[in-house]
Amino acid sequence: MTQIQLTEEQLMAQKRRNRWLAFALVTFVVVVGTTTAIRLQNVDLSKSEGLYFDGSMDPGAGSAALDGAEDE
Amino acid sequence: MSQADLSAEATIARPGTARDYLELLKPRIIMLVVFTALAGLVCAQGVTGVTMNPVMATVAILSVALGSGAAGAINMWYDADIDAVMSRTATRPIPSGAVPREEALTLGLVMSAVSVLLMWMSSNAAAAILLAISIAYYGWFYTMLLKRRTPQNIVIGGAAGAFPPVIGWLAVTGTTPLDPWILFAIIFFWTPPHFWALSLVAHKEYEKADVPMLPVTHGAKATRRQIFYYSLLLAPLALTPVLTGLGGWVYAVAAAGLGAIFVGFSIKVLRSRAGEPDAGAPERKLAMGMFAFSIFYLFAIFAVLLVEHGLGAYVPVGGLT
Repeated sequence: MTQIQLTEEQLMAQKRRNRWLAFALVTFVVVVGTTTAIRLQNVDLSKSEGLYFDGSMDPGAGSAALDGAEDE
Repeated sequence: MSQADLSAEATIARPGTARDYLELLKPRIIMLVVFTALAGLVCAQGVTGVTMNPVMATVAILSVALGSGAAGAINMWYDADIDAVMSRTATRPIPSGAVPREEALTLGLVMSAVSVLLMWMSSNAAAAILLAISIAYYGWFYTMLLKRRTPQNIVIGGAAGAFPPVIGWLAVTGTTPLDPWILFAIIFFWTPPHFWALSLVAHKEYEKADVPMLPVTHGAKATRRQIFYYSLLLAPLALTPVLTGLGGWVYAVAAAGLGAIFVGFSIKVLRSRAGEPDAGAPERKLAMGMFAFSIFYLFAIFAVLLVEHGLGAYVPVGGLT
């Protein structure tokens, strides 16, 4: 395997890019964590509604299925 | 310039900095996109009374910014060959060799996925889908299909930049009534006169790069005429939010005044020889003046809506709402 020798300038640029990538990754984790926490606060997990899909395309689907099960 | 030439150049070029990667995302377009998306989001809350958690709203706007940046990176990846030919774009990160072409594509694709995911998490699936459509519209439909094929590239492609206020509105309410589509139409009809004003100055560059912009294919006179027609359409269209109740008194006055100036500019450009081979500095200045004013126009129109609905300055125009 050939070893690529980076110049001092290239090494510095690589370091700076790595720092920005780390910053972006940490930010992403924080944003995902925060939005999930806020969603969890606002959702009643005991009901059929999901955490990320509000069921707006078929609003009565979940409850209708439950009603049917009770009738039987 | 072929991809092989670009690769060869990249090996001897300077190392890319964070600034190069930021430039790859087209930050000035991001600012406009974020601003119009924010206006859509704030107007939706003001008109419907539905409120969005401020943190979620911030993440939704961040998603729009990321999506815009992603589309910009994909555009730069695909257009690297023609960017290298035009002096206006030759210093961009890929043609200058600061960023390898494949890295730009990777960044664009990863950011696209992240932006759509974050939009879904912060608002709803519909807003996320529309964001994905808008990224594909600009990054694929406009960049890869329209731009090099038809002089109507800017007209049809203009829809890509018009989606943000609809996405902002959708993020809040999950629905898209008439109002956000009016905002869409304003940006859609604003894009051609805005861009053609610039192309009257830069048409030689487009010709060199073989991009069929209107001044290249139909000449400067036809372009100036089209700028005038679109301005005539845009000015009254920008007043329609007053009819639906989206815009109040402040908006009505601002849209009427700014629209009159916009049409006035287009008449000056129409009467000039801007874009002609014998055009001099005054003509170039006039075309660039219209280009600069068009940016101010759009910012101002959406800023007024933001102030009306975000800062409580909305006073309905009586009898029309």
